Amino acid sequence: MNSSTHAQSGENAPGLSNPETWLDNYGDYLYRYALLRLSEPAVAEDIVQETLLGAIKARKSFAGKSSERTWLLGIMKNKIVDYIRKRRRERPVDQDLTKIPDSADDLFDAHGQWNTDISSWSHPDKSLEQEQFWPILRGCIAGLPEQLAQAFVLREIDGMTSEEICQALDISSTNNLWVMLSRARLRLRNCLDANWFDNVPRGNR
Amino acid sequence: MLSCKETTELLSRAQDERLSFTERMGVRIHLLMCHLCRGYEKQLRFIRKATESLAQGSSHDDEAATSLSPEARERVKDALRQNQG
Repeated sequence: MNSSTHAQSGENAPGLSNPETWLDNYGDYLYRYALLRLSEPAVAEDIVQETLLGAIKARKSFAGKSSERTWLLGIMKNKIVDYIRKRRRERPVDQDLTKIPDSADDLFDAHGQWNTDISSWSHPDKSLEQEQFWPILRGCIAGLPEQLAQAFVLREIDGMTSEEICQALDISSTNNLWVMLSRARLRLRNCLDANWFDNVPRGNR
Repeated sequence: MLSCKETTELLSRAQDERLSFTERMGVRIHLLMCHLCRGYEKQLRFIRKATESLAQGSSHDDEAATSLSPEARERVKDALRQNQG
């Protein structure tokens, strides 16, 4: 680890390495984290930059109770939520989603029954061992409509509770959130069905 | 009797909340009679498992696509330099 022999103002908190090393040491880790949640590389790059800049400004407050990486990740999580909230303000969601149809609803007839025999997947767990599966999953998540993706990511990847997500995304009722999550999951199911499970050569499922 | 659509919504919600007794029973009965929804339930579980692996970084996928490109790295480096000191 570099010591801060020429640190900008010699004011690193004890135990914090020189900010110049943060990009080298944590850049990819932070980028991967942001990319998973935001899907767009340019946006993820901006968030990494904002995180490191914010961390530089806040470095005196590093209390040394967690590792540097955890501390940086904490800053990044806040930046991500801020970004998502900003995007939602720019494109507000109609509050009562239950009244707006989603393309996923097309799978059901007027009585709410499946109108097609959805396929089942035999031994899907084998996919988890295949390298080619992961870009497909990432792509399917990235392909979700933005509002659904945001809710899904905060729930599945950050493990936030329904209340926390509603608060972070300014969703007025947990009912709306549940509609969003159900739609996201149904769309993901269809995306994987079309792009992964139907494309697997016979015998490899 | 729950419809398939209602069942899929409850199956989804069950991943996040504890359903009421009535809801759980309704789902259970529907699943007994509907193989398509039984299949969907398994698929939901798989999606959760796969996404969890992704989140934990235990997926072994394309490093190049999920790393900062050299150009991006330079851009961030420049921005940091401009803001320091």
